[in-house]
Amino acid sequence: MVSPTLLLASLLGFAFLSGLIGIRFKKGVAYILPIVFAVTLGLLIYMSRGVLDGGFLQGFTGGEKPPYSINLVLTPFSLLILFLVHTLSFLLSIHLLIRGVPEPATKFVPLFILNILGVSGIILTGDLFNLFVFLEILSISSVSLIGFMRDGKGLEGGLKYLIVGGVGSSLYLLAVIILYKYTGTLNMADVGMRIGEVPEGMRQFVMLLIIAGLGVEAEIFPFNMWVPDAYQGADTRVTTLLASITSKAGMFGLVRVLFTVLGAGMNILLYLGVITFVISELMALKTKNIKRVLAYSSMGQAGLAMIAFGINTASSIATGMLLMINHAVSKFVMFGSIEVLTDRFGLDDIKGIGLKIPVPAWSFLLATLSLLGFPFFIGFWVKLNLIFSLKPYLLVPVLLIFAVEIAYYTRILWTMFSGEAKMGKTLAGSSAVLLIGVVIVIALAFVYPYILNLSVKGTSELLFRGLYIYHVLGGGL
Amino acid sequence: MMVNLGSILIFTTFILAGLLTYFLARVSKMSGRIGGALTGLFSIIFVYLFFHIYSLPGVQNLMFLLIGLVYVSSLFLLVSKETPPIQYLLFSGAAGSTFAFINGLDFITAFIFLELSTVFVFLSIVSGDRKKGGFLYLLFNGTGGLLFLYLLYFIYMKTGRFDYSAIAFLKPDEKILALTIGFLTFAIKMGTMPFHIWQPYAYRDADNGITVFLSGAISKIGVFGAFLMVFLQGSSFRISGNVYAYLGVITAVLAGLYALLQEDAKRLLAYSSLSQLGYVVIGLGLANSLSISGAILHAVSHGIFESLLFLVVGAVYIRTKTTDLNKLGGLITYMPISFIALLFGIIATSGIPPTIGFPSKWMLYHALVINGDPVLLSLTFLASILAFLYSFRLVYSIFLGPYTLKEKVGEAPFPALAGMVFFLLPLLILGLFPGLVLKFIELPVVRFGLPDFSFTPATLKTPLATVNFLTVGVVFIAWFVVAILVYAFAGRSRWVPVKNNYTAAEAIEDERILHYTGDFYRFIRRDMNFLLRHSIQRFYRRLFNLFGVIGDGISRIYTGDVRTYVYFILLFILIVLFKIKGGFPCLW
Repeated sequence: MVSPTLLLASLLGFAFLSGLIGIRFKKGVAYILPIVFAVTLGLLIYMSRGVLDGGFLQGFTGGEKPPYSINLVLTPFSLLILFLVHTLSFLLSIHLLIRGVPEPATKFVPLFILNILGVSGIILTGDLFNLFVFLEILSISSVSLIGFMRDGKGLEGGLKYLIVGGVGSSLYLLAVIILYKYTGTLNMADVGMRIGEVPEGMRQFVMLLIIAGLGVEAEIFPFNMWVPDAYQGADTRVTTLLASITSKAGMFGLVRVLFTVLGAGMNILLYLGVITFVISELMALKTKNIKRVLAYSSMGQAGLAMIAFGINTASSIATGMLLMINHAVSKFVMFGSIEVLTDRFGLDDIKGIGLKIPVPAWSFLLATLSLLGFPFFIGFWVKLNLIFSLKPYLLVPVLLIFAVEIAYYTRILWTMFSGEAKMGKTLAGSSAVLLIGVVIVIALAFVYPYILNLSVKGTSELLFRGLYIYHVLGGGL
Repeated sequence: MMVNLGSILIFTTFILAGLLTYFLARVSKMSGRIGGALTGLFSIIFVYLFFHIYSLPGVQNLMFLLIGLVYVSSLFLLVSKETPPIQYLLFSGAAGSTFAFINGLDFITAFIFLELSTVFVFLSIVSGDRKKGGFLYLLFNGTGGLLFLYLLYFIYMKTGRFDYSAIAFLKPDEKILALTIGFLTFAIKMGTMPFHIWQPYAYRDADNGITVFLSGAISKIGVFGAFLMVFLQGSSFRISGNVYAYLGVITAVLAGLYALLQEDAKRLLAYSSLSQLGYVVIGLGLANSLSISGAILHAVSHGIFESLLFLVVGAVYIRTKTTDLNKLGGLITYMPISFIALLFGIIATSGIPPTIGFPSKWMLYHALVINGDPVLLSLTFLASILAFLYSFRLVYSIFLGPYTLKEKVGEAPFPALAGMVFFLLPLLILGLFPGLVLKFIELPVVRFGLPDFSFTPATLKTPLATVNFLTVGVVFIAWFVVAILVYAFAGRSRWVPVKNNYTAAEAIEDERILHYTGDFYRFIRRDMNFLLRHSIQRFYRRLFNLFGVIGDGISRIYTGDVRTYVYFILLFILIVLFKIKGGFPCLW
C-alpha cells in the first residue's frame, strides 16, 4: 500500500525540482505544473481504493505507530476534498499554461506547488503541530502569491493577509501549546481521546483560539477582513487559486480540529456562519468592483458551509461538503472567466463585455447559475439539501439572503451582457478549460447520488469522533 | 424525496427531442425545421398517450390539453422562421418542464420543474439579441422559487410529507400562511401586479415563438399552481380571498391602462396578457364554484387567444422585421388570413361572442354580481373597456390604415398559418360549446360548495340567467354577416389620398408618417398622468437601495485598516470569553 506521505513528498520534490529546472529552462518550467498534478491525482486514485470501502489510510514517520510519530491520515472526507483540490489544481495549471503563467515563472511555479502542498498537508495531517507547519507554508506561499506582481494593491493585500494570518496562526499555536500542556501529546486522535483531561474552562478557551486562528483561513467573520483586499489586490490568476482551492484548506482544518479533536464549538460555528453569510452577501450587494463582489460571495459561501457543518447532523455535514465542492468548482470558473474577460474590474469596465467575448462570459453565467442553485447544476441539489437540514428559525434569513445573492449576480450578468463594451486591453484567448469546469458542474449534478454517497461516508468520521480515534490509534489499513 | 417518475419521463422525452432537433438544425436549416416539427409532434403524441393511460383528473388534464395546443402552435411558429438551433433545445426543455410540472403532484417535483422552467426560459431569452428581459425574469422567478422552497420546507416540517394533499393536515392558521406564500410564488409566475415588472420585458425580448409559449403555457404554471393553492384550502380560503380578488382587479385595470400606452406590439400584448390573467386571479380570489369555474375557463381562453395574438404578431415580424406599432399599418392587403386570425383574437380578448372569451367573462361577471362588491364589479367592467381600447389599437395599427412599409410583403409562412388555424378552431368551437371545458372542472369545484350553476355543452344556467351560447353565437355571426353585406352593397366608402384625410389643409413634408395610430392614446397618457407617475419600479429600486444602505452600515466594519482587523479578532475572543460562564476565572 502506498503511503499518503508520498503525495506530500512528491509535491515537495517537484517544488524543489521546478526551482532547479528554472535555472536552466526559464520558459519550460511552467510545463511541470500539469505533470505534478497528474502525478498527484494518479497517486490519489491509487490510494483511494481502500478508503472508499470505509477504511483509513495512514502513513507515519520513524516507523513508529501514532501517537509516537507524526502521522498522515487519508479518510473519506479528506479524500473527497483532496480529490477536489487536485482536480482543480490540474485544471488551473492547464488554464495557466494556455493563458500564460505570471512572470517570472521560475518563482511562480514553486510557489504554486508549495501552496498546494500546504493545502494537501492541512487536509492530510493527523498532528496538531504539523497542521501549524502546513498552515505556515500555506500562508507564506499565499502571501508571496498575492503580492507576486509587486503592484501597490497586491502588496497591500499581501501585507494585510500576512499580519492577520500571522495573528491567526499564533493564536492557533497558543491553543496547541495549551492542549499539549494538559494532554502531553500532539496527535489529533490522542488529544481527542484525552480531551477530558483538559479543564472545562480551558477547553472553551482553546476552542475560541482555534476558531479565531483557523477562522482566518476559513474566511469566517470577523476574521475574514483581509479577504476582499487580498482577492482584489492579487493577480486574477492567483485569485482563482486562492478562492477555489486554498480557501478549502482553512475550512477543512477548522472542521477537522473542532469536530475530531475538541468535539465542541459547533454552535459557535453555526452562529458565525450565519453572521458571515448575511454580512458578506449584503456587502456584495453594495460593492461595485467585480473581484471584490466575488470575494464577498466566496466569504458568504464559506459562511453557508459553516452553517451546514455547525448544524451537525449527518445530512447537514454532507451538505457542507457538497457546498465546498460546488463553491470550489463554480468559483474556479467564475474567476477564470473574469481573468479572461478583462483586466479592469469596475462594474462600468465590464459593461457589454459578454457580447464581445462570448465563451468565458457564458461560462461565467452558467457557473453563476450553479452557485445560485438552479437545476441542471450540482448547486440545485446542494441548495435543496441545505434547506432541509436547516433549523426553522434560520430558514427565513437564509432564503432572504439567497434572494440578495440572486439580485447582485443578476446585476453583474446584466451589466456584462448589455451596453457598449469599452475594451481596454483585448484579453480574449482560449478558455476551453473554463468550459471543462462548466461541464464538471453539470456532470456533478448527474452523478449527484454518487457524490452524496461519498460525502455521507465522510460524515461518519466527523459525527462519531471515536471512529477516527479508533482507526488512527489502531493503526489504520 | 421521491421525484415523480412520470414527470422525469416526460422531461427526458422532450430534452431528447430537443437535442435531436438541435443537431438536425445544425446540419441544415431545412432538416432542422422538418426535424423540429416531427420530433415535437412525436413527443407531444407520446405525452398524450402516456397520460391517456394514466388519465389525469380534471383541471390537470385540461391544462395538459391547453399546453399541448400552445406547444404545437409555437413549434409551428419556430419552424416557419430562421430560428437559431439552440432555441429548439431550450424551447423543448421549457416545454418539457412545464408538462412535468403539471404532471407531478408533489412539492419536490413541482419545485424541480418550476426551477427548470425558469432556467430554460432565462437561457432562451438571454441567448437572443435583447437580454434585459431575461435577467429580470431570472431575478423575479428565482425569488419566486425561493418562496416556493419556503413552502416546501414549511409543509414538510409540519406534516412530514411532500405531496400536495399534505396541506389538508395543517392547522387553519398554518394553512393561511402556506397559502399566502404559495399564492405569491405563483402570482410572480402569472405576473400579478406588484410582481409584474419582468413580464413585459421578458415577452418583448424572447424569441417570438418562445413568447407564444411563455404567454400561453408557462403562465399556466402560475394559474395551475394558484388554483391548487386555492383548491387545497377548500372553502376556508374565502376569508382571505378578497385580498387576492382586489390584487387581481388592480392588475386587470392598471395593466390594461399600461397596454394602451405601448408602442410595441409585443409589449402591448404582454400587458394585455397581464390584464387578462388579472381576471383569473379575481375568479380564484372570490373562491366560489361559479367564480372558480369562470377563472379556469378564462385561463383556457387566455391561453388560446393570447397565444393566437402573439402568433400573429410573430408572423407579422417574420415578414416585416418589426413589431413597432408606429411603423406598421395597412397589412390587411398582404396578410388577409393573419388579419382574420388577429381579428378573432381581439374579439375573444374583448369577450364578444361567438368566441371563447365570451362565456368565461360571462361567468366571471355573474360571480361578481352575485358576490355583490360594487367596487370590484365596476373596476372589472372598466378593465373590459380598456381591453376593447387596446385591442382596437392593435388591429388598427398593424392591419388597417395606410400601408407604411416600402416594399410589398407576402402572407405569413404556411406553418404559422397552420398554427393560427390550430388556435382558431378551439377559439370558435369552445365559444359555442363552453360546456366541453366546464366538464373538466365540474368535479373539482364541488370542493367550494355545491355548484349554483348547471350546464350542457351549449347552455349555462346561473342564478341570474340562462344563456344558450350556440344561439348567441349564431345570432352574432348572423349580424356580422348582415353588417358585411350592408357594407359591401350599401356602403358609401371612397378612396382618398392620404394627405387629404389627415392634414386638415395643413402643408406638411412628405417623409412624415401620416398614420394617425402613432401615439394613439396620447390623451390617456395626459389625463391619467397622476396614476401612471407612481411606478412600482421605483419601489423596487428603493428596496434595492435599502439593502444597499444596510450594506453601507455594515461596510464600516470593513475599514481597510489592518489594525482594526486584528482588533476584531481579539475583540471576538474577549467578548465570547466573557459570555461563557465560568470561562475566565479558571484561565490561568
